[in-house]
Amino acid sequence: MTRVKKKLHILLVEDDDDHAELVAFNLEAQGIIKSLDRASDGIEALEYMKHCSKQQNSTMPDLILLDLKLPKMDGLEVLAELKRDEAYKSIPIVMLSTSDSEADQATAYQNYANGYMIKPMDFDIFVEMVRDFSNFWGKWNCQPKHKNE
Amino acid sequence: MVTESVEHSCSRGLMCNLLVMACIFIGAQLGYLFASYPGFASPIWPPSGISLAIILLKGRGVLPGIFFGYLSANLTLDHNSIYFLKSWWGSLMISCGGVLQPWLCSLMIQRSATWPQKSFSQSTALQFILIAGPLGSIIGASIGTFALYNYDDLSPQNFPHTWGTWWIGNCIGACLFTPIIYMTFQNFTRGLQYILPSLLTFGLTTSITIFAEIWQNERNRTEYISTLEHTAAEFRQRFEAIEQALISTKSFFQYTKFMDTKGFEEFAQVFLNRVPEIQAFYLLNVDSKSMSDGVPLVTYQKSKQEEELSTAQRKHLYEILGSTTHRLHDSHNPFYSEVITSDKHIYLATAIRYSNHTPRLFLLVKINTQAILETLNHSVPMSDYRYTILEPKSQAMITSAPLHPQDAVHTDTTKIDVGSTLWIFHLEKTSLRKSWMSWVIQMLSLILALTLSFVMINFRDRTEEIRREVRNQTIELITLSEQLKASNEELERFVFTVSHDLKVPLVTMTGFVGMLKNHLEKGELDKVPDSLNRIRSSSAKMSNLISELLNYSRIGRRKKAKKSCDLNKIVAECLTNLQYGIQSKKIEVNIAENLGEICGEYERILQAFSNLIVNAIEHGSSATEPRITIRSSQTQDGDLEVYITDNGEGIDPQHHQIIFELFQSKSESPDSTGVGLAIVDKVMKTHGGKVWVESSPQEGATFVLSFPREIVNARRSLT
Repeated sequence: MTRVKKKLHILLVEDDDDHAELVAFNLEAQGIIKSLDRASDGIEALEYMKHCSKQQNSTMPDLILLDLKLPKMDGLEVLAELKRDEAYKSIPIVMLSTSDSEADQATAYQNYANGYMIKPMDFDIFVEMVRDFSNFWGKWNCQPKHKNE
Repeated sequence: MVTESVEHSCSRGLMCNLLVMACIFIGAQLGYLFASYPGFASPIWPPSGISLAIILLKGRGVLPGIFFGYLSANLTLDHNSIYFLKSWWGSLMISCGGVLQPWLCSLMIQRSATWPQKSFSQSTALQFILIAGPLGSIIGASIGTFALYNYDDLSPQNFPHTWGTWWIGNCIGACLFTPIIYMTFQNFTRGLQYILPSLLTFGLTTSITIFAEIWQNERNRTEYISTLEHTAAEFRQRFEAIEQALISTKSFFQYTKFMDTKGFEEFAQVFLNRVPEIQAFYLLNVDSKSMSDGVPLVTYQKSKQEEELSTAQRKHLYEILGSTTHRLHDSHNPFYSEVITSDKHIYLATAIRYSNHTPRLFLLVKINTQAILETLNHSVPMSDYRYTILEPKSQAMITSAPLHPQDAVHTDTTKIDVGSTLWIFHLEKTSLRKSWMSWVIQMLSLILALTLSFVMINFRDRTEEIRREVRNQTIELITLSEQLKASNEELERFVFTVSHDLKVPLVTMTGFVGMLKNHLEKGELDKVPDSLNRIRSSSAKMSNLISELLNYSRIGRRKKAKKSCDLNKIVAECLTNLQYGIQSKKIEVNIAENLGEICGEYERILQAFSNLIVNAIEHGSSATEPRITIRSSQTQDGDLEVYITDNGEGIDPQHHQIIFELFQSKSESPDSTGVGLAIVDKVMKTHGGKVWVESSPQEGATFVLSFPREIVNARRSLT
């Protein structure tokens, strides 16, 4: 029996509108989206998270897709910030970046990133990546429950 | 206090001068050791070198010391020394020469290329040696020789030899002693290193000189002796020739009982023609019959100019014979002759016997001393010799041309037995003529001294120079290699950053190409334009980025011509280009007058200003009344600082450094390529200046461009 893909609440932190569009489109196409929010930079992302935790019904994202290159506040800083905070640190954060530098990967993991994906330069591969990603996170991965639920 | 220090320096000066005087005196004594003929000068003269070195070290103050050194050396010469000067004036003049030479030399040296010398290069060493040696010695030699000539009886023939020896002596002295003394004072240990080669050269030149002298003397001696023998022989020969001539006429007399005048005349003619040394010829008939008035009859005389002899004259001739007649009588030789002198004339008296009877005829042959003189003069080089042939009893003398009394050095006397008379032959030779061989040897020794001192000066200095060269080049190499490393690192960073940041638009492009394909497959034609737009803008972005990067990389690499840039003009041009943005955002722009003028690459400076103004426009526009101010000022060091201020949102201090790096833009604007400020930074660096920002959040930002004073064109003072 094939599992049913869950639908997730995803926060996408990406400054480039085009990239955001691409990711959003593909995630939608994979049917993994319950709701998708977008933050254009680190500050906005943190504010969003604060806003979420204040809400009555937990609207905390199930998953955060985080780009490394962000204006105002670096992606790694955001990662560190989120993983430090008791309220947010259990939310899985997957880095999504053009950088294939091993140093960046290492630093991300040192800051407790839950995954690291490199944006491919081929659309078909992009599609494949998002599909496999969605399969894993939607079908097979067990998400932690939030307190408020 | 002042008088004390003056006195102190005076006494120091006095001590110094006394020391110098002593040094010169000792050096002179050393030089006198080499005294020899020819040339009343020393072929190695240390004082010329010592004095020059001391003047170069201590200056004019030591001149009195040198003067008195020379004077004391000259005046204390012993009578027997060849250098003994008879006149005070001569000594004074020589001492003046001794002072003038080093003084003028020092002036010439100090005026010539780059003095004082810490170290010599090849050409300056050559110059130094040539001025100190050959050139300078001309002064000393000329003055000294002239002094001797004027005041001390130097013969004109001796002038060139004296001058030459003096010149060589001063040259060698200067070459050997000046460098070593000078350098020892400059740097004692280095001076020590020179001492051995100096002593070696000194020893070598001394040996060569002494050798030359000894050899010269030997030659002179041998020549003298041979000349002596030769001339004596010549002299004897002349008389023997006359005797022989007379003997050959014996037969004539043998068969003539008595002679008639005509016969005798014929005989005489032949005889006289054969022997040029005969001046006159008297035939004295002592036959009692012809002794008319107690005086023999003279029957012939040579020259027709001589008149018939008077009785007195005849008597005189007989008297000349004098005691000779007895000896002529007593001798049993049929033909006996003897040389007699009278009245400073020389006669050959010959007695002719016919048989065993007493002699009847006396031939008195008056010798032509002039002719003999001429013959002798041919065999003796008259420029070098003088002779006197003297008959002691009568003081008859044959003498050659007088020699300068000073020139007569070798003299010797020998006795010549001619015609049973003992003559004294006195030969004088001037050995003051140097042979060419001796000159050659002396010149060789001079060249040796010059070469060795040149090599000496150069040798050590070269190693110093080489060491310094190597050090400098090593430093240069290290600097270059560090620069290269830094440049490589920058390149790596650049390449890394570039490839990294080009990926972003590439992802977009490929992504939306795929989306486009999707849309077309699904027939969603309304979504096509959007995708196409995004693709287009992405590729534009990429192209933009690439050209900015190329631009960035070209700054400093492709240098444009430097010219004078009026900063006000540049700012005006920027504002014209950006006027749309300024006007649309309603930004107030204040520009100071007289911002300044620098010499640089116009296009680059324009770019820098443009980028900064663009930034100011972008970030400053968040304020309610956006304002941009541009002014400048000059620092104390002369650097020109230009301030571009906006009143926008400001920049967090922690970002103040990083924003100038590539792709570290904190701007939200989609047009920001992240290269703008990096370009400004690079432009300033290539002009030798820098850029930095002073800002805090919400309090605007001031970007400061600092131009180094070397490229700032001096103008009226700025605010």
